Amino acid sequence: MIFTSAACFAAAVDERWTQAKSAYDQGNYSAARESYEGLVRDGWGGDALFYNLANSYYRLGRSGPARLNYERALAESSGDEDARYNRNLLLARLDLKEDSESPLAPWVSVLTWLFTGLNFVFFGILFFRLSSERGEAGSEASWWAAWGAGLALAVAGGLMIAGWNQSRETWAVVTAPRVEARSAPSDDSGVAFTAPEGQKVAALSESGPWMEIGLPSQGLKGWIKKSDVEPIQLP
Amino acid sequence: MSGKPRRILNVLFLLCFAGLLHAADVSLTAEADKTEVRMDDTITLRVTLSGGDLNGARPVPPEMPGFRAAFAGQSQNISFVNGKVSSEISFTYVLQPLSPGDRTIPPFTVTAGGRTLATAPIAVKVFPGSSGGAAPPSRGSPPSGPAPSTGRPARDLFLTASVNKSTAYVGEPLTLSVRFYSRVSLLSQPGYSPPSLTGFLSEDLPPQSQFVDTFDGRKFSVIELKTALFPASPGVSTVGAAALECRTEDFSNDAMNDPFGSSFFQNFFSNGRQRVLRSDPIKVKVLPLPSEGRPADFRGDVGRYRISAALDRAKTSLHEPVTLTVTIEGEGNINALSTPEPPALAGLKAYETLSSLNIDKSGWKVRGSKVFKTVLKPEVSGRLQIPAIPFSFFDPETRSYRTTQTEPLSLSVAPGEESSVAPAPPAADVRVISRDIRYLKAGPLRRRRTPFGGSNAFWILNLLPWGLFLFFVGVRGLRRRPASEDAAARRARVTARRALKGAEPLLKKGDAPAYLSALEKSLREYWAAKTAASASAVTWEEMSGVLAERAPRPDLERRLRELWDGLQRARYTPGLVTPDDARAQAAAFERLLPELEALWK
Repeated sequence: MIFTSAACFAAAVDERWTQAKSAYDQGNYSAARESYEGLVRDGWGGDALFYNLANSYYRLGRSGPARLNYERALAESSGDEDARYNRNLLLARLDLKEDSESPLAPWVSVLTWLFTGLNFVFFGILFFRLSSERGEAGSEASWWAAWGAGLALAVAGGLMIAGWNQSRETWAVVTAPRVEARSAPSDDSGVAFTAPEGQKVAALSESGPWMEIGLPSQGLKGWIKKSDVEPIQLP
Repeated sequence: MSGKPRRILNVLFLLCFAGLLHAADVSLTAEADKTEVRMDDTITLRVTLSGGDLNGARPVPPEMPGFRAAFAGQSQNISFVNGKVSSEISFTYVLQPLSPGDRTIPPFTVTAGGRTLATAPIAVKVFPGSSGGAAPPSRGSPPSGPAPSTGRPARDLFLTASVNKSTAYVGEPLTLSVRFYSRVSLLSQPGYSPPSLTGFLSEDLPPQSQFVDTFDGRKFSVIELKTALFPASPGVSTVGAAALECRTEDFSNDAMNDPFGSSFFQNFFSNGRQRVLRSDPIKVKVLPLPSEGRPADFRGDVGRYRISAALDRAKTSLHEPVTLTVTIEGEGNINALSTPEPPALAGLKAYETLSSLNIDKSGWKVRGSKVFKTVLKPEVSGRLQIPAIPFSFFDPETRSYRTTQTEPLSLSVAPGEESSVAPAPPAADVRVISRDIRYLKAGPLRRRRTPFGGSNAFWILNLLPWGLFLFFVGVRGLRRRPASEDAAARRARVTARRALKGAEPLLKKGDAPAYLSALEKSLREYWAAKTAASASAVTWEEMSGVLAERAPRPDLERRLRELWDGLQRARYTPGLVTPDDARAQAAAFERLLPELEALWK
C-alpha cells in the first residue's frame, strides 16, 4: 500500500512537471510559472526546477524573479552552464554587471564533500597502518600515503572553513521594479541609493519590516522593505 | 501577374531599391520660414536630409543660444521616378526667440554614408515684440492708404478669440476659436492675419463656420475659424492678437448728418472705409508633463492612441520579403507622432521604415492615424516571432501615462529556393542570428535538500573516522600487556646496562664467574621484560622462536647463541672462566643490545 501511494505521488509530480513544460511550449508562461512555483512550494528543488522557473519569469518580462531563480539554480549547481548563460544574458539586457562573488563560496559544496572523502581516506590508511604488523612490505609506502592524505585533508579543511565564512554572506535579489534604499529603517530618512529590479544585493540585517542591504563592490549600504527583496537561499 | 513571379519581381525591386539608395548622394539642408522675427513670433525651421542610404541617420540639433527650440515632428518621403530613387526626411523645429538682437541658428550636423554633413548657419534678426520698438515688415500689416480705424469695440463689427482651456499640459490639444462678428456689409473680401502662436504647434481646423449669433441683444452674422493648438514647452504661452482687415461703407456721423453735404455723396461713391479689427491676446498656462510614472520608452507623445501591427501575409519563403505595418491611431498631434521603437527582430533584416499620415479633422478635432511600413526580409527559415511593439503616451484626460502595445506576430518562413530570388550569403563565418535564453531542462526534479556542509550527516560522517580510530587504538592498547609490563619492556635495555655496571666491582676483584652470572641474569631479565615472560623460564628455544618470528636474521641468532652458550659454560665450569672471557662476553652483550632493541621498535 505504501508502495502504491508513493508511486501515485511520484506520478502526480511528474505530471505537474510535464504540464509546466507543455504550458511553456505553448507560450502560456503564466501557467508554466504557476506550476513550477507550486513544485517549489511543495518542497521540490534542483537546478532544473529553478532554471525552468527562471525561464518562465524571463518570458513574462519579470526580470527580478528571473534573476532570483537563475541564482538559485546556480546555488544548487555552480557548474550549470545553461543557467549561467541565461543569467548573463538577462544581466546584459538589464545592463547590470555580474556581482563579484567570494571566490570560494561557489565551491563550498565541493570542498565539503572533498574534505569528507579525504577524512575517510586518511583514517583508512591509518587503520591499515596500525593493523598491519611491523616490518611488512609496504610499511614505508603506507606512511607516506598517510602523510599525503593528512596534508590534503588539512588543506581541504582550511579551504572549506574559509568557504563557509565567505558563504555566510546572505545574498538576495531585488524583485520590485525599482527600490530606494534609505539611510535608516524609516520612511522619513533620506534615500541613500536606488537599485533596479534584478540587482543582486547582500542581505546584512533586519529590523521589523526593513532589511539592510549592501552593494559590497560599491561600498553602499541602505535599508529597503523586506517585501521588495527575496533571499536566494530558500529556507 | 500573380504568385511567385510577382514575388520575385518584388524582391528584385527591393534589391534594386537598396542598391540605388546606396548609390545616391546624401545632402542636408536647413530652411527657416523667416529670418526677421518679432519677440512674440516664432520661426519654423525645417531640416531636410535627402539622398540615398540614410540608414537611420538623424541630424543632431546644435545648442541654439537666444532661442527656445521645440521639435515639431518629422515627415518622410521616398520617391521612385524613372528608375531613380530619392529619399527625404524632414525634421521640423519651432524656434521661439528669447531676446531681441542679431542671432544665428548654428549648423545642424549628421553623419551618413561615412560622411559628416552640416547645414549652413542662418542669420536671424529678432525685433522687440509688437508693443514697442522697430518691427519687421509683416505680411499681415495693413497696406498704405487711408488711416485705418482699429478694432474693437466697433459696434457693428468686431473680432474675438478664445481658447477652450486656459491651462494645459505640453502637447495637449487646445482649440482656438476666432470669431468675426458683423452687422454691416463688407465692400471687399476681408484680409485675415492669424494670431502669432509662439510656443504652440498648430493645425488648421477647416471648414470655417458661418452662423447668426446674438451679442448684447443684437443679432450678428458670425464667421468662425478654428485652429488646433499643441503647447510646445512649459510656462506661460500667449496666443497673439488675430487681425482682420476689411472695407465697409462709411456711416460715420459727419457723412450721415448732412445728407446734402458734399461728403455724403463723396462717401456714397467712394470705396468705403478701411478697418483693421484685432482680437485680445490670450495667455495659456502650460504645465510640464509629470515625471512620476513616466515610462522608459516615452518620447513626448500626448493624446489618446492605440497601436496595432500586421504583416501583409503570415507565410513566406526564405529571403522573400514581407511588409510589417504598424499603425498608431487616435486623437492628438498625429503629425508629430514619434516613430515606435522597432523591436529586436531575430532572423529578419529590416529595411527603412516609411510613414504616412491620415488626418481627420471632422468635428474640429485632430484625429487620425500614422502608418509605419517596414519591409522585412527573412534570413532564416522556421517560425519567426515579431515581439509586441510598445507605445507610451501621456493621456491629458486621465493625467497619466499609458502604454499600449501590439500583439506579437508570427511569421512562418519556408526554406525556399535561395538561388531563384537572391544570392546566398557567404557561409564562411558563423553568424549569430539572435541571442535568446536557452530552453528548459528535462530534469531531474528532486527534493530540496539542505546543504551538506554543517548538516548532521556532515558531522556524523566526519567525526565517525575519528571515533573509530580512537576506539581502535583503545582496544588495541587494552589487548596488549599491562602498562607496567610495557614500561618494563621499554626500560629493559637501560636496566640491563645498569646491572652490568653494578657487576663491574666483581670483575675488578677477579671474580669472573660471579660477573658472568650477573651478566646471564641481566640477559634473562632483559629478554623476560621484552617478552613479558618470567626470567627463570627464558630458554634458548624460546629466544630462538621469538627471533625467528620478529626478524629472521641468522647472524644475530648466531651471535646471541654464542653469548648464551658462553654464559651457560661459565655457569657449569666456573673454574675455566678468565676475566678476559668475562670482558669479551660483556662486550658481546653490549653490542647485541641495540640490535635486539630494534626488534621491538
